[in-house]
Amino acid sequence: MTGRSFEDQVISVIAPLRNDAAILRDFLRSVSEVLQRSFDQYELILVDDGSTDDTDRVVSSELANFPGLRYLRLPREFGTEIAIAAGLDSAIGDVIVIMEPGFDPPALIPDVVKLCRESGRIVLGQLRHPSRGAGPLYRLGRKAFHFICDRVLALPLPKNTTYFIGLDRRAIQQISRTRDKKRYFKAITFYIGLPHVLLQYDPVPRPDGSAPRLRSVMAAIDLSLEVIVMNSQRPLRIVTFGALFIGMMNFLYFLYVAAVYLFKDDIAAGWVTLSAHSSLSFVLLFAILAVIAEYVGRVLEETRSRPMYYVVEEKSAQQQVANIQRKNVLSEAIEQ
Amino acid sequence: MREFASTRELPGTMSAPLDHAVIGGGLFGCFIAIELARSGKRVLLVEEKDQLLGRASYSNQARVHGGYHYPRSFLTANRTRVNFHRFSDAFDACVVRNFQCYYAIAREFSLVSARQFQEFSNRIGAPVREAPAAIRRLFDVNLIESVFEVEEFVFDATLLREMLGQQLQEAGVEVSLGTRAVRVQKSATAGLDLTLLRNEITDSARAREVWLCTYGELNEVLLESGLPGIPLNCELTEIALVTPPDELQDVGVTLMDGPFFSLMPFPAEQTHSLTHVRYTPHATWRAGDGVSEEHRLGDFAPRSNFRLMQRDAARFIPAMQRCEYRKSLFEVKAKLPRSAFNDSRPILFRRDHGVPGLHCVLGGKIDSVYDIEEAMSA
Repeated sequence: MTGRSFEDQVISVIAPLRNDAAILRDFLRSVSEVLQRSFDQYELILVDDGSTDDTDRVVSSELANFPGLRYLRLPREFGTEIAIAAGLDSAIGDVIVIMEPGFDPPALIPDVVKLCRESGRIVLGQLRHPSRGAGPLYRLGRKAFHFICDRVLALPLPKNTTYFIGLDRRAIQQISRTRDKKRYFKAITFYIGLPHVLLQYDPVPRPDGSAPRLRSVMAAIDLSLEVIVMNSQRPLRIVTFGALFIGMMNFLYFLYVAAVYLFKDDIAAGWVTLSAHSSLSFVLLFAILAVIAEYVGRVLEETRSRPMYYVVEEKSAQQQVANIQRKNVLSEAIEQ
Repeated sequence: MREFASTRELPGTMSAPLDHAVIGGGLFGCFIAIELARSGKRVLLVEEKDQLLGRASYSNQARVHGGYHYPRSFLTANRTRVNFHRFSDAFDACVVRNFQCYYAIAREFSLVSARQFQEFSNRIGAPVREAPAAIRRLFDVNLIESVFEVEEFVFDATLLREMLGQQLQEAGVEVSLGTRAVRVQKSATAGLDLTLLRNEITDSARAREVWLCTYGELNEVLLESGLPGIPLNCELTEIALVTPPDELQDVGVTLMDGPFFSLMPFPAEQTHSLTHVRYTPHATWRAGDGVSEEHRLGDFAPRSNFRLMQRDAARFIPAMQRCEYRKSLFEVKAKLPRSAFNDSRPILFRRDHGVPGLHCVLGGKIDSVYDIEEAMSA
């Protein structure tokens, strides 16, 4: 894309941060450079998901240098999904691009915006080479997850997509209504029924030379379970059918016992049958309890009407003049 | 109001010295000049521009604060409520009441909840009740917790200018427009010597006391006079003047309590003003750092943030998508460093600053002008 298109459009970029202080300056520089070149008016919202390094300090020192920079700090780690939701809640853009620093390429922001505008759909970034950097266990798990989602849960989530996402105001309006505290962006868009379009890309190397961050296998399993439990009633339904089946079998067994009692005179001790039956029943009973507990846990989570997140501070950039001794970058400034 | 044909006629030049000279023809300067003249003193008012109330007293939201703005400071709110009544009575003819004001509370990012806002309003005795359904429908329920109907007005800066001009005249204040006060110095005999610049001709005047009411340019005069400056933060602000959609024509809306916007009638130009906590300030600097205001404004070549303000407003009130831009008022605002952390905006009043008889006054909000009256008589 050449020149400044979308003259009257405001573009927001949201970047969730988690201990990214080391690469932050590079990220700010490269993103601002692209935004400045491509768009007339824009904002870059950094959402700090409870970083424990000196992200806060780095951002504060850079606020004056990057016009349109905004900073939201969450007091503890809420997770990338919620950090993104917080960013979406305060983004004002006509088109919003979400990206992970040190992973998604800033140079593609204009393409995402263009594709989003032209298609009117949500743009989902998709890795061109998804296997890069992923171990065999991770790949197997990913296959299993998508198989379950597609075939068992009727939840056809797009594969190998990342948090490099472009969406317009209309989509945001819908997504912000979903106040789930356990969120999975792609599942929410699927649930709302928003159409998407895929954009294939290769991630950028992290400026400090470290390997791109993938989820750990445990974190991936954790997320998969959350997605499944939050977005599908099918497991519960399967358990229901299973429970009904076992119940029926138990009933048949009872009929058998009754028949034996009525028509046979020499009843054996029957210890094997009895213990097999009861142990089998208990196994299933506890399996059912486990699943129910899982759902009850989610119900509890949703019914506790606590805010989805807390923001401890918000800062924004202002154009500054060179010779100020004391910086006043707080935006709580005018009589409103 | 008497006008002077030439600088030769400036009072206090040749003849007996003046009692008071007031520098700065904003609301605070005019108000002080009138008060002094009414007590029988001989007063000169000097204004750099060609009309009174041409700067920050004009380029602001024109809001007569009803106290609703300070749910986190009961004292400020109470004080504001008292001043609200005094101001709207005293300047009755300039106060515009033909619209309904609403305060909406945002769900996220707000520092008060709807319930807190209501209870606080009741405590300061400010009328508050739930907005009618027709108004509530204008807001996005996902982003707005509640909308309240409140009692708040705006003033017509043009009418206020006329009214004060008349009062100045009746009180017998000598007004010199287009006159810049360059410096103030201790006179060899008694009182203070004032160096004035009018039509590029330097002149002087002598007064027993001088009141410096130049707001953001307080330090320019002080430093030129070799006196200690006052620590001030300046801010370049933008007020966008807009034509709201029909359904918002007769209302004022303020979104509380965080980085939000405000849409208020602006009677001086028969339009509305749109301001935003995040986008109205364009730049901040320390006052008196040697860079002139003209130079600074040129440096920034302010470019309107209207689109950003409007985009944010349209999230909360979808009809704001149809809001039309007319123009922007850019103005420098001065703030005491301590009020950067809360928006209480105290008045600064320093008696005998540097030299005996030189008083510095820095007003916060327009309607807090009565606070100065008490400070003067103290």
